[in-house]
Amino acid sequence: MHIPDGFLDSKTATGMAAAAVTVIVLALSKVRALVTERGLIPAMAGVGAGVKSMTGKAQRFVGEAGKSYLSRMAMVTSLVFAAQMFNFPVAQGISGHLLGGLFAALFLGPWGGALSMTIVLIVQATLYADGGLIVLGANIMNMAFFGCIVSYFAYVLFKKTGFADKVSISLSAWVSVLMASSACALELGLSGTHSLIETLVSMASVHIFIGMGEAIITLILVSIMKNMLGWETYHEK
Amino acid sequence: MVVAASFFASSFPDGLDYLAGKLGFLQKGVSRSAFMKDYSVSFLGAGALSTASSGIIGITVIWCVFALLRAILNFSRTERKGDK
Repeated sequence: MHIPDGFLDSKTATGMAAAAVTVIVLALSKVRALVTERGLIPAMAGVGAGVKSMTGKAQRFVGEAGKSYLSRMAMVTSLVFAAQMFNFPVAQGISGHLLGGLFAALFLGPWGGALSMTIVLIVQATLYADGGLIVLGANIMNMAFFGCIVSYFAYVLFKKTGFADKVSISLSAWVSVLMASSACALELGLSGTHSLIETLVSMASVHIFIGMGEAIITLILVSIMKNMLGWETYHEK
Repeated sequence: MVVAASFFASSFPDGLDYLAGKLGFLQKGVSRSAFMKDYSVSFLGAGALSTASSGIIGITVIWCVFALLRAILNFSRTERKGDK
């Protein structure tokens, strides 16, 4: 699903880059608020009162909770990166790979998940030429915005509708792939690369199956993380 | 995990590449060279060993990014106006 350079025209690529920058800035500020806390820096606690009166300002630092969130984020990011390297065959001649958007969002929250996916995409585009540099914004919108943020809210919606947790995970994992691929098809259509309708229909018909793989792998990964590592999902906290 | 999985990777093109070929716009793509293009380290050739190494390098880079992120967040300590 990583769009290479040349598939999109410059106006679509630029528009998507602008949208992606907005999403990244928002995600960074949300994550910063999540991992830092206000107060005195623990190392200076002894002279805390003095330091505070000297500067007259409250200070932000990465606390214990923030450290554990960041190391979890690093683990999730590495896992998503590793999982995306490997393709599973869907039909003769076609393969798909895990997107991991919902998986990341389930454990990191929608914004942390999006940031994690963005880091994966930047590493892939720069070191591996997997996904173009000019179209990086489009790839970030497809896989981090639709794949993480929107699919996370789909998951919350399914939960609220009364579906069981596993059913909600499967459905929203499937939806995440379908949304990301449709967004990708839409960008291709808007760029005039190929007719919009045909691209949309073909992308959807392939990714309906890739999405099923995504749902199964996400379920397995979530249960491994919960049972073997004792992780809680973001929603449960 | 990366090492184990590198033996099972499918060599079929993924959904987008497949369609690009089928619908005839694959040639529009611009191919770039990169240090670890197609997930293999250039001097190790192709194969599972090369894929696994490239994966390990990628994960190392990701951990460095997070170490950097944590350092940045810890050093930008001073409260800015409007912070809650």
